[in-house]
Amino acid sequence: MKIKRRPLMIMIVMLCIATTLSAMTAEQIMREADERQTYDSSRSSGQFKIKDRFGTKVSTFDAWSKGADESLIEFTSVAERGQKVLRTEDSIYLYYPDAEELIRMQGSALRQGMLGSDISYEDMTGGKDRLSQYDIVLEEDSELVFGRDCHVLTLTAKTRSVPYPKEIVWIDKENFIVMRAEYYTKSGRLLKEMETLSVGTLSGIEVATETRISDKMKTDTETIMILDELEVNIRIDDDLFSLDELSW
Amino acid sequence: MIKIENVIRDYHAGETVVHALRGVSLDIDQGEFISIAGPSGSGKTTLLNLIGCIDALDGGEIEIKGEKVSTMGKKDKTNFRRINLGFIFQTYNLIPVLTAYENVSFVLSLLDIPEDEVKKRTMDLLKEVGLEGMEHRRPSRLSGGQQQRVAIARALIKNPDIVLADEPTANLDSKTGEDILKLMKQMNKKHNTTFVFSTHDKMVMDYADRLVLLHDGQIMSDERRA
Amino acid sequence: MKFLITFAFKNLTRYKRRTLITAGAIAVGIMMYIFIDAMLMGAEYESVRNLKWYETASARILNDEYWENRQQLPLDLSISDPDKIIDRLDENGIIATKRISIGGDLILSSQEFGEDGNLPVTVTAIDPSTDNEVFHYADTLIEGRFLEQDEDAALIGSWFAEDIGAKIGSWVTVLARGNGGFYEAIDLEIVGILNCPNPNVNRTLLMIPFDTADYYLAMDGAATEINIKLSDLADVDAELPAIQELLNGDDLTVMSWTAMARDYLALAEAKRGGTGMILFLIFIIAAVGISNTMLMAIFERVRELGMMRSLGMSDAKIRIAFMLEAAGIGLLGSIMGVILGIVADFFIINVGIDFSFIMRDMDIGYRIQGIFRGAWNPGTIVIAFFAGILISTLVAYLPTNRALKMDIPSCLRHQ
Repeated sequence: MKIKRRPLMIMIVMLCIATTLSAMTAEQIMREADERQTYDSSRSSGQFKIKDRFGTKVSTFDAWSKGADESLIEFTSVAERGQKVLRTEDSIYLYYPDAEELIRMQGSALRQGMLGSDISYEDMTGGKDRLSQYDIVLEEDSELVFGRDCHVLTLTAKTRSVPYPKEIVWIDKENFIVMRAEYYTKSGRLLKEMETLSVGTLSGIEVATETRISDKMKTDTETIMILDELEVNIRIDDDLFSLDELSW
Repeated sequence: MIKIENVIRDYHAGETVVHALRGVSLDIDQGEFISIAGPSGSGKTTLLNLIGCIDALDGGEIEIKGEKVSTMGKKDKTNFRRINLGFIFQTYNLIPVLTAYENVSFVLSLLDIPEDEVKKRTMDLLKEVGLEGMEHRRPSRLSGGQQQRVAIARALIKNPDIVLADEPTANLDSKTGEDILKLMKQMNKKHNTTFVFSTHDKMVMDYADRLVLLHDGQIMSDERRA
Repeated sequence: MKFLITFAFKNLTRYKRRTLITAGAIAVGIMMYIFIDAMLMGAEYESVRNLKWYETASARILNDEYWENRQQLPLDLSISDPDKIIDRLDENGIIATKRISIGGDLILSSQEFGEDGNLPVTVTAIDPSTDNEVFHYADTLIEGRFLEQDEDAALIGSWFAEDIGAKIGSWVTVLARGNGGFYEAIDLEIVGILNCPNPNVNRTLLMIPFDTADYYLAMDGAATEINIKLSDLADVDAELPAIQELLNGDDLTVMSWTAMARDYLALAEAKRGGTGMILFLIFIIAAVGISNTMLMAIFERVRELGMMRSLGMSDAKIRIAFMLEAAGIGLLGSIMGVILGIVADFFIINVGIDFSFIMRDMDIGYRIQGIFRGAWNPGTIVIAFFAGILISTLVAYLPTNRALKMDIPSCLRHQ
């Protein structure tokens, strides 16, 4: 009996959780997803596979982050070795070691794709104010994406100053990983798509280890980001995110 | 008229020095018809050039019409020549693109003489030297003798005191050469112009009133004949 | 002096062939000078016209901060109420039209164009009712029709259409950022093809109606520029202060076409300098020719020179005689050169030279599509004429000096 009762218990508990979760508002889901993706501090390494009609280019990187606003990416692959992208609370800087040149990205320059990928610098900065910039509606409570049960949220921009006037986001009900996202133009044309191709556990945390971002207007281009290592809540020197440190 | 005193002229050809004139002294009077004779290389042309103020001497002194031409500057020499000296050359040196008339008259145009006077004097003189009717021929349509007649007219047109002629007949046959000499002598008598001419031709020497023989840059003899 | 002149001209007849060849060289130089100058004049004249007609207008009103940031084609640095300004200009008798310049990507689909593709593009949104009062695009329409207000339609430059394979009725998509930064994709039907004589425009032109851009990009009626047409004879820079006066208080600046086309003007200046070098070389060649001829002439006449010097002709007069002779060659060359130059000008002005094979694929700065047509420039013809004579005369100075350095006995002995 004891043996039989246990699955029942689990089922009850699960149901309870599910009920609790389903009771979450769209904002809560979004916030939960954002919070789980944000660490006090992190160090990671991984790679970008940038595919366009000329072929695929692989770039590897090491990255550090602190909170939601500060991050540093340093490329380690031969072609880009030493190139760095620093994101501070209000700016993005690029450092090119060959030219020993530091460039502050602003205005329309932020619209360029990083290393020619489908991820723009703007995409990197975006997200932090999503809750304030978008009206978020829970469109569908349950939809399967790659076999995972997801919430489907529709984000509609409240202002003109966001690149994507409409986003649809699929968030895994269990681990709040964004499994899929679609980005639309103002008149509702699909512009970009993001999909989580695999989820893994790094340092005990469940994260998307492989994501694909594809440009739906410019066909034949996609960028796959693979996360190989992740350490969170480690000690990081504050200076790491200063401009002076950028050119070491 | 012309006083030449102990004139020395050396030519430098690299290391070697040619002593063209080694102390020549000579007095020439107004109206003389004098021949400087001697073998080639004896210094006749050099002497003529010095009298003609177109060469510089290395020693001695030359005085013409009371003026020390040997110490004159380049410009003064040019002016002196323009007024006082006429030249006749072995090769006539006429300007081929000018007519006989123009070859003569241009000398006067250098002296700023009015045009109608230029015309009259030139036509008269050309007639005098026997070129009447040939005034508008270019040198190429004149014989050697006729060309030298033009040259004589050119030398005389400004009524110079002295006419210098370097081997004036050397390019002519003997008959024509004789005619030219006769003309020169005629002009000498008529205008009382001093003629100094060089030659190595015996026949020419015979026409001279005075014959100065040069040898190795020195005067060997100086005889008056007339 | 009269003798010297007759003498010089008679000397010219000594070696007629040599005189003619030397004069011919000068004539060719002068002809080239006149011809190249006419061609460049024409090219510049036409370039300036095509700049004003198809790029800059006579002057342009911009937001104070726009020019500095023009590379980004910012939509937010705009003129918020362009119609108010245009009315104000109109009251002062100034013709103007509003425009929006939009940076974006042109997306070509495989259904329409055979293969997918995209390329960066600058879209110009025009007011179809007034644009042709300032610019001259309507006259360049070679196929289809002009734009109408508020339609999802576009006009395209013929070279651009050729490059991407667009035809009347093709659909293209422009992906752009709206006012504020949001993405917007606009589907546009190509309704007209323009063959704009300005190659820089014809290579890239994509035009849409103002209202269409206004709607999709949330411009709220704002324009990024107001273009002004002034009379062709007007001194634009002199008229600007009065126009600026009308704009005070609106944070707007008026710029003349010369300020906007500074790059072009600098280039034209540099080109003029470069061609100046070519012309200088032509003259050097002519000068070497005449100098050589005079050297030969002088050394053939050394004995004559000796004779004349013996007879008391001054060095100055001898020099003048030779310089006059050279001047004569120069005069002959100048006359021939001017005649040839005028004939060449007739050709370049009325027929022109077709450089379209170069202009099609290469930007050489000139705003001319293909046929270079010249323009008369009497000043140059006069300058060339006198330069031919003057240079010839001056060039004779040196060889004469050489001859005058010889002593007279050496001259007389000269063979």
